[in-house]
Amino acid sequence: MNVTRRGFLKGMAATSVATLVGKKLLTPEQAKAIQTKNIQYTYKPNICNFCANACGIKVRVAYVDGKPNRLMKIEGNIHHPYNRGVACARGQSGISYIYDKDRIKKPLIRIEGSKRGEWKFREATWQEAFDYMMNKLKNIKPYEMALMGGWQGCAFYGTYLLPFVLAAQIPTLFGSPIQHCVGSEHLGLHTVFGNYNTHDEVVCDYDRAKYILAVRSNGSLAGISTGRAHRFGAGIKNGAKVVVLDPRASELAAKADEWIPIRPGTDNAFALAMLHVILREQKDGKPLYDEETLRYFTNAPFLAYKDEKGNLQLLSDVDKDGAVEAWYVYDEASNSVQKVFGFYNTNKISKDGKNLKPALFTNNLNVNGKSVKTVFEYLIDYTKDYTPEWASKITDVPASTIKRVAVEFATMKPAIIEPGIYDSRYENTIQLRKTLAIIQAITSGYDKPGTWVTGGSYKMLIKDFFEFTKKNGNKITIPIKGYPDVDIPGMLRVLDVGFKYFFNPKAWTHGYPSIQWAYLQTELSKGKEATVFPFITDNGFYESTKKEVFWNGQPYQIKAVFIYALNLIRGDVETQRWKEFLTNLDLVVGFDTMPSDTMLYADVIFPDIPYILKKDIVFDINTSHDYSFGTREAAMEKDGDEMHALDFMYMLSKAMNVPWLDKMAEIYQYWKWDKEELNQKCEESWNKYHTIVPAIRELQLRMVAGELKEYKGVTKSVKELDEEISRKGVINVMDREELMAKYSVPWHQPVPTPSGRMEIYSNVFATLQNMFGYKPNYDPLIAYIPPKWKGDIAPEDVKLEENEFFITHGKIPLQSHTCAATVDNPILVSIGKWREGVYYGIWINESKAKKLGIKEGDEIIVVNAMYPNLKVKGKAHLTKLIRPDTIFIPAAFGASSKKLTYGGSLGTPLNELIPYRPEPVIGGYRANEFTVKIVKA
Amino acid sequence: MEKVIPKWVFVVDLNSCVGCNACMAACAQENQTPYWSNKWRTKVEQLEIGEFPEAKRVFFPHLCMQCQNTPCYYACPTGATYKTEEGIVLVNHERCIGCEACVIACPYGARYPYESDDVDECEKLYGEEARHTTPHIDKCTWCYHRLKEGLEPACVETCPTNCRMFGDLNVDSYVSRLVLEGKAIPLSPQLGTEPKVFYVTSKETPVGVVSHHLNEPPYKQTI
Amino acid sequence: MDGLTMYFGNYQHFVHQAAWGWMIAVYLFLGGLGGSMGALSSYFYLIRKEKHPLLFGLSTLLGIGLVNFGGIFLLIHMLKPWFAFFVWTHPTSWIFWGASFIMIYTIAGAVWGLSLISSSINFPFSQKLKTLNPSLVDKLGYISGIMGLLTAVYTGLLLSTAPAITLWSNPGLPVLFMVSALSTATAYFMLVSPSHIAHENEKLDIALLALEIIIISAFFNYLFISSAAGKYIISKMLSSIGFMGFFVILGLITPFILEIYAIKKHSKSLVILASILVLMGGFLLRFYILKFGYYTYPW
Repeated sequence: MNVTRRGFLKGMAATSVATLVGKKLLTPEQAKAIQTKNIQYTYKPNICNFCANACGIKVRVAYVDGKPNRLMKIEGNIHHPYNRGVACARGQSGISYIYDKDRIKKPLIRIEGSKRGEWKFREATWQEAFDYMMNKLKNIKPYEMALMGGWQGCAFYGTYLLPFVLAAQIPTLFGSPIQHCVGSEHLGLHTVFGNYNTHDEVVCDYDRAKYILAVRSNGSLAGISTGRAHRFGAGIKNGAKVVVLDPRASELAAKADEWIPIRPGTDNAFALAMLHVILREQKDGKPLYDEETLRYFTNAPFLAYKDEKGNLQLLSDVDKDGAVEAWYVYDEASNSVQKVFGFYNTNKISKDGKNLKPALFTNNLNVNGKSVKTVFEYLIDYTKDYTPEWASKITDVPASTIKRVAVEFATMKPAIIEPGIYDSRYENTIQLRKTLAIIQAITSGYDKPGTWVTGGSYKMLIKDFFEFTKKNGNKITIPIKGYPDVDIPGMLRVLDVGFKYFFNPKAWTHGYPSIQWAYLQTELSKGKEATVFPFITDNGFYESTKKEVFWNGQPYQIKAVFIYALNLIRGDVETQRWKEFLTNLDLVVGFDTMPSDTMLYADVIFPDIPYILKKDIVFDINTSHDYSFGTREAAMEKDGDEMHALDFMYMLSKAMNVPWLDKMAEIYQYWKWDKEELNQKCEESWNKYHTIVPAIRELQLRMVAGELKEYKGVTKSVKELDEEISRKGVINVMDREELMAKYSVPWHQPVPTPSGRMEIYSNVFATLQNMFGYKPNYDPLIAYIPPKWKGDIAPEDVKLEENEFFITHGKIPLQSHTCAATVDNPILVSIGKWREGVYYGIWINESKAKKLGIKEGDEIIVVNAMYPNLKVKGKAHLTKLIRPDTIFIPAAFGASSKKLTYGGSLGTPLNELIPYRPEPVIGGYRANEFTVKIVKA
Repeated sequence: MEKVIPKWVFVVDLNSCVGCNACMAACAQENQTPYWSNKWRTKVEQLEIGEFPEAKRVFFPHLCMQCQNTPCYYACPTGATYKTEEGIVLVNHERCIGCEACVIACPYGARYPYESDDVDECEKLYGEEARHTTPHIDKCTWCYHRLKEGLEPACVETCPTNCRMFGDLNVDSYVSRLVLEGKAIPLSPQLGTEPKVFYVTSKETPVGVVSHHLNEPPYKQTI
Repeated sequence: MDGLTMYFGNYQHFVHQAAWGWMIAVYLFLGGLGGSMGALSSYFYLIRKEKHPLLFGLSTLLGIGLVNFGGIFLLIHMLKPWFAFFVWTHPTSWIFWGASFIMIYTIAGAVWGLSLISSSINFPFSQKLKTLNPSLVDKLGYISGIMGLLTAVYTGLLLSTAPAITLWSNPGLPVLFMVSALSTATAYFMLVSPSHIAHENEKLDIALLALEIIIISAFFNYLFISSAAGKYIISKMLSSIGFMGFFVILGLITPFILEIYAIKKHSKSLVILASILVLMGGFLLRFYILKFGYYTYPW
């Protein structure tokens, strides 16, 4: 630390000020004072908080006469294994966020008599604000409260929130980005790979890929996810071919060797046709799919049958707890039906220890009186009609192109289908992603160089879990018994936590499940459709305040919410609905750094410490291929009454008298907490520093020291580690190549699906199918779901009127879902305004716009053709880079809070155009499943 | 031993620029440029070439080319524009009177006036650390102050896709090879200004590049 | 971005220079006019031996005044005009030379001009000036004339140092500016001189205007055949009513015809009209040369 960089700056400042300068004339004393100032520069490591990628950064601080004086600049942290020393425009702009005059620095209480949404607040002390909140909470029962967290909560403190809600008996948790950000994609992808985790633990090895196919996905690469973009850049330089499907030329499409302006929302058909080709075509007498992988590491050879309802089921043996003990395969070596383990990474050995060669194809097989075929044979059956010619009519892409892309993808290996954020979304997003994941799996593109690579810490989680399952007969139940909940990897954790707590009234002393689950049951009892896997979604919140949700025959109502760094009004769809919801509550507690549109509706706001001023706990860097840990150092003293989120939870747990830390130690053993020690250290630290962060950090570093000793044979004391991590921001335990060689999935250990194999046939979806009846949305294999722009008219038959368009939206590099922090950043706003049309405008095809008499910069109104009461205003941007039948609106702009000085009025509030219509699996928004009409304002 | 003067070159690989504008944000803060007046030392242009569906979106970063044959230097009457021994063109803020002859002379749009209002805003924002204390014509310095400290220019250091690269022709590196082998070409060579920024325009497979910072010349790390 | 072309995968776009506008046009115009007034005064008085000391003395003084008045526009345009004396630092810059020309012109022309008028007008120092050695005064007159002419040429050279501005960076521009500057100065003399000198100037101006028309045509030719940028500028020029209508037709061709006509008819009023048009044309030429100063950027 403390690399001194004296000299040039000091010199330049001094000489220039000492001279007679324009209209400013300094007195000799003033000039001398500056000249003699000893300015030094120090770098403090941190973790960027401007999007969910959590890049490693370092903050340059100017010290004058040995005292920290000003934050100067942010740079990437070269030690950080994810972003490797680079930072994007957002990441660079953090300093002006700290000095933003709009930032909240003191607790605020809404003035008595004012309405929510008016922004009439008065400053208060912590004690006063806290007492105010506790007083209001007195009459509200725990199950009437809800924690609503933005992605910060999710990415950094999600695993601490869960023990809190369990301890406080608050069954309702809401993670904002899940539905409009990653929920549908992750569910779709990770029914195959099981890799469902809080935030983006799959970072592809773009550097070494030869072929990169992206379906939209601008946000996760070029638009911009820095660590991925960094690898992507190296991939391009190494000569990778890039193909992008997107109705408009996004930043990513701009880098494509082949930009395919597909008709929006029809990617599902494209993907199915690709799968169709890969399953059928051959090259040099060999199939395009990877036979070995399918045979041994997927559930493709598992035997399946159609039950009496016509639903596809896997043949299995189930024990008394409901755990699958064995799956069935047909062994080609012995020409017999054999059983394989319930939870294991490979099908190479049978349950009784024989070496197997499971068949992909069978011939009129009959087992236990059922006519069975392999999953793979069913897959081939299912894709029969999805020919490139069929897809061509829907997608507006020539059949020959679809076929060529499929063949190229399967032969130019290693190849990647970008797994990340998909921007626009439709009801078919889940099945689209599932199909793409199947393509990735059957071409063997997983956890190998140049393909999808799982995070280092993630592999270690799986390692421990695999050891646990091996001891327990190679089978698992759901929810999982006898294992700390938060330590369960991926999809299994989601299933476990969902079914053990949120969907389970028996888990709570008051007998109420989460509001989402109660809402589902209420709707089902009325014979209506609702989201069947409402894991931390927004379902039922609004309805509960309307007294439309029931549990045990009684109305079940949310009365108080804690909102942590979440911008419901801008991030969620149908703004009016959420304004109404917030207005109808008894208490709205905000915990944020910026006066976002949502904070206007709070009763009391507590200031969060902005990341640059925050000394933080240790995080495992789950976006990195390496096994490493990182943290934040406060670059300067905080400049107001801000508080760390964990300290707020600590205060809250003390005031509510709930055993948060005990619960944490119980369900989150990753850090190897000891219950008593944790409590004691936290208390000491709280009494001494008024924060528990140092205590938690110390215990975490002790665990890191243990890992270093175990895997590297290096002995370091906690103090040494603390010094190292404070200086470098990162401690690396094991690097990528070693992890790949020892712990890659599924090659060395299972993927966290219910069967441990890459699941072509999804057991998660099979569970939903068996619980709620069949729907193509959760077909365990594959399904085609057409985009419903105009009700049930098939996409190929949809005709648009002269001023009618499809709509697509997406992320741009200057913006992310960070509440108001990136919207209101003066540097980002300046860059954006320089290209106002591109970044804040509504993209319309130039020649089409001319026909409508629209010119660049014209004010236009976009009206939802399906729900004409939903409309937004914006400025037209004429471009050749978009389909003539489509418009594009950049996401997450259009704030209306008057408290945001710089970017408050920029852009189009996209979410006011989108109706609230969650799809039936995980509640993903059908955000683009309508058409719009354009009228000049 | 004789002192070796570095022959710095800047290479921009147009194939990997994704138009994220990180360079602009980095430069604006490193050099305290007046972003509030929409003035930048480096910019990423966005172009639309061709017609849909063959239309192409092009990102084109540019900055001062540090011409060997330097029009702005010749145009400057006051001697405020000067060249360092490494050939970096700098402006002496005090000496500059802001006649804009250099702004006109520059073929690459690299210069702009740092006006009195901008100076006020700069001093308001950066206080004692303000580096622009008098009006002058401002331009990219390739972060000369950083180079002297053994650091890469701010835009190069932060470029997420490593589209901006920096190197010394005296040292064998990926960057110097791109230039010496003619894979990277200068802009508007017909003007004869001998720019030292080179652009890679065609995509190919170079040997041995895996990732940024792994094969760079020994630039210092700060933490 | 104003215009865009693409060839062989490379891009060019043409961006109007925004740095120098009408204020600099005024400076260039007054610099050319004022400088040429001095040059013509010296020419007529010293070489053609037209003994009108009051006319040429005052014209030189007025020329100096105009040049320096124009200089104020340049100063206002600077960020730090109070440090303008720094321009005498770097001799590769045309501003260095321009400032030098103007300064020498101002000093030499002032002394010369004042001593010319000192015989007819009394003012402080006038007696002292009368006592100056006549050959020194003549030498100052020659210096004044040459410096005046160089000042006029310099206005063109100043612009020609921008390599990426197609319209400016060519050897024709200083010639055009010099011819045009002399033409405006003859127009001035046509307005104020006694008839035979006005007549001389009229003949001179016809030649200059003819030359200017040829140079402008040559410019058109050069731009048309030279490059995409040239073609772009031509298209902009041809579609500009101000340039084609007010400069080419009204400010150049009309006075040319009027003056030929006026020579035949000995019409004073036509001459006055023509002179005013020439002066207007002189300003418009500079204004439009700045306006059509398009950079050719390679992106």
